[in-house]
Amino acid sequence: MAESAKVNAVKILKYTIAIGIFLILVELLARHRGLTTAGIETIVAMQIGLAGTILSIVYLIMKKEPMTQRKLALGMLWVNLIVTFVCLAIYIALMILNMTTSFDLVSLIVQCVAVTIIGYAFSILSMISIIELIGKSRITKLETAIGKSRSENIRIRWSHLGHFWKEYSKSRVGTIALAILVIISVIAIIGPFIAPQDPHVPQPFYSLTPQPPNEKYLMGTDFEDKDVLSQFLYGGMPELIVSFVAGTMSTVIGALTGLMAGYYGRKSEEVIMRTTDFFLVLPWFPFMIVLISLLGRSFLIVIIVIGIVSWPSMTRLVRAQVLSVKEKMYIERARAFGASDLYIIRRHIFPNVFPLVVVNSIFMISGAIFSAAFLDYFGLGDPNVISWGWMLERAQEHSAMVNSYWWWITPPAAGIVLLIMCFYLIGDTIDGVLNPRLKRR
Amino acid sequence: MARSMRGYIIRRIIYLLLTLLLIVSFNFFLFHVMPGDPTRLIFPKGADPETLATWKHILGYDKPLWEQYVSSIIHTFTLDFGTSVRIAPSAAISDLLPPYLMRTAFMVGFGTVIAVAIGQRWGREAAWRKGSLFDRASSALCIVFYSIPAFLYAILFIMIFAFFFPHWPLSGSTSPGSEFGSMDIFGKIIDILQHAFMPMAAIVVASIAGFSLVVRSSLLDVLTEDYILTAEAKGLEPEDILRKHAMPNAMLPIVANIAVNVGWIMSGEVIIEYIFSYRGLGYLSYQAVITFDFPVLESAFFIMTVSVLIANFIADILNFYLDPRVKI
Repeated sequence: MAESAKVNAVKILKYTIAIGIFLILVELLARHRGLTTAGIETIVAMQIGLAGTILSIVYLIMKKEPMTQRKLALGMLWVNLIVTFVCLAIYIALMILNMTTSFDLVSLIVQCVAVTIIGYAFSILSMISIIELIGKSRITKLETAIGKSRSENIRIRWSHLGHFWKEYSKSRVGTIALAILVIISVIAIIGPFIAPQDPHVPQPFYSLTPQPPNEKYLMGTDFEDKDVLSQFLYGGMPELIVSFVAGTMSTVIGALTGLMAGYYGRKSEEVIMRTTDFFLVLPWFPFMIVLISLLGRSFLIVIIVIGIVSWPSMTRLVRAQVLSVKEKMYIERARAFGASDLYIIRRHIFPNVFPLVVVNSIFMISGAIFSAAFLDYFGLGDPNVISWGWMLERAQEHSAMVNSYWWWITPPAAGIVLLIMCFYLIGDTIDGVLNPRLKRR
Repeated sequence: MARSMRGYIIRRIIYLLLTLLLIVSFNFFLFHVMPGDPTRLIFPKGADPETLATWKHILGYDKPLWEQYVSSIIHTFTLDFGTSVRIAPSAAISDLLPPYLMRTAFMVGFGTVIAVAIGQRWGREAAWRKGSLFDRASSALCIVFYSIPAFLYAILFIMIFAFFFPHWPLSGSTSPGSEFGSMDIFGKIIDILQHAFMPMAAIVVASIAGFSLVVRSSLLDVLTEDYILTAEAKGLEPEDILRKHAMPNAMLPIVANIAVNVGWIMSGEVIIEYIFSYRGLGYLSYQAVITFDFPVLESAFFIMTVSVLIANFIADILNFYLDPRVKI
């Protein structure tokens, strides 16, 4: 026991050192970009990590009964979830705070990454080591009893993933789409650091005639002599952030309401489905226009509006699936054994609905890109955030189409179309893998 | 339960009216309750308090909320949408709207019909020749078309037309007033059609792919059924199988989808009108957004929502005709 505790102490020390190095790197990066505020956030992130650790210790000590792996894992999951939500709340608060003063997307991204990843990683890693510290002796006894070690469990899970990947990679289209998506994401993430010019900085003199691509400007310039390539590189990240956050938001809302409506039936179903019908009737784009013109043009509001406008189709799909699963015999059986509603939903219904949710969340993401592009183009996006839609809107403002300034329009347009298409194809492929019956078509 | 058309329609109409009431309430909530005092958004901070009070009175914001709510319901059903603030100051919106509404209805109506006609044909061919080169090529094309936002088609068309046909009108719904006034009746019609051509083309192209995909997938569902096999076994001509057995059954999801897609087309319409400065409801809402003319925005949104609602209503009735199983 003493021996293993020592080993684990060394492990914790290693983790801490690794995280410390990572923190320093982020800090250096932030300072390199001239962002001194990022330091505060890293401290906050560390504190969150520590809080997560303390919470997990308290959790483990409070539970005096012998702990099985599942309980441990569940405990970890819950604490992690809480930590993640706290991180998210802080991140959003920071965003709002930033909104009021000067707004810089790069600093936002750095902060966001710093707060979420570091806080999350810190808490997970420290929790793993603490679980190993406290629970190891008990677990080893239980492991032999259950006959499955933790590592084996993990291996099974990985083999599931491997199986999924094997099926997925059979589809050439899906693989290519995934590859393109990865490339676009990499470009979007490192873009701001390799861009030759900061598009936020206005040029001192400009000629009012866009230049076609030349040696100095690889993708030509816009009206203010700003490099189109740099704008393109900066523009990917907001596009991805909007799509993921808004897509996740509408997925979560849609899945929860769909589960509730399908499982509980009766009044809650009536209320939820009537609301869904109502929201389906509202034409989505005019609705977004109204909401944003009332709430104001800002990045966060665009995300929230897209998220709350696009959930109803998800609700309908999930509800239909839940209704078909609910009547199965094994649900009846579980109920006869005295399983609670929550247990049935978690163990029996949700796993059956999950593939549908995954596939449709990907379609939601591609829909969110669509909506974001529409809003940007209509002039309702955040004017301070450089995104591909924003580039198109400016091109439209300066009538680039009539004058055939193709080098200004093509990159953002191609970016948006490629992103939407990749998500669509990936969703389609995953659909085929998870629902093999559909393959006949 | 006996199938009675009249009972069904009456029930749908009651449902329609209830939804309408809900929309009015929702609109009221959005525009009157949520941001507090809308006049503060409409007028800048340093506005003359007396003018502000006058406008508040005209727009009805000085009354208590419940009174505003009741009057907004009454006004909706008497088609009185209030007063415009900026776009046509002090003019009644109900006088302002009709021409805009006409143009949008023309666009969306004809656009949908053309897109459905072409998309249905296309999807049918693709499903019938499943697995052929044509099917694979058209599926790939559909996915590409489907992934392109409507405004990109508009941009593309403008670029092409500006390059090849420099004299083709690229914006507005008619030529400028004086020029338009001096034309004879045929000239006027040609002018209007010329201006409508490009936005219409953009709408049609933007929505064909979606329809085609739906037609293809629902037709494929039907074609794998056993009765198609039976029809084949008893020696029916392929053309007859398609027309008499497959298409009628595939129609249901298609009709349902068209209704859902009207909302989608309406959304595309808004942005396409904005690009071409085509004077329809979408353009009007854009003007309302940039000038903070909330009463106009509210009524434009209301009209668009109601038209989608009516499209859904028509689809429900059609579904009743097509599907004998529908009872409620």
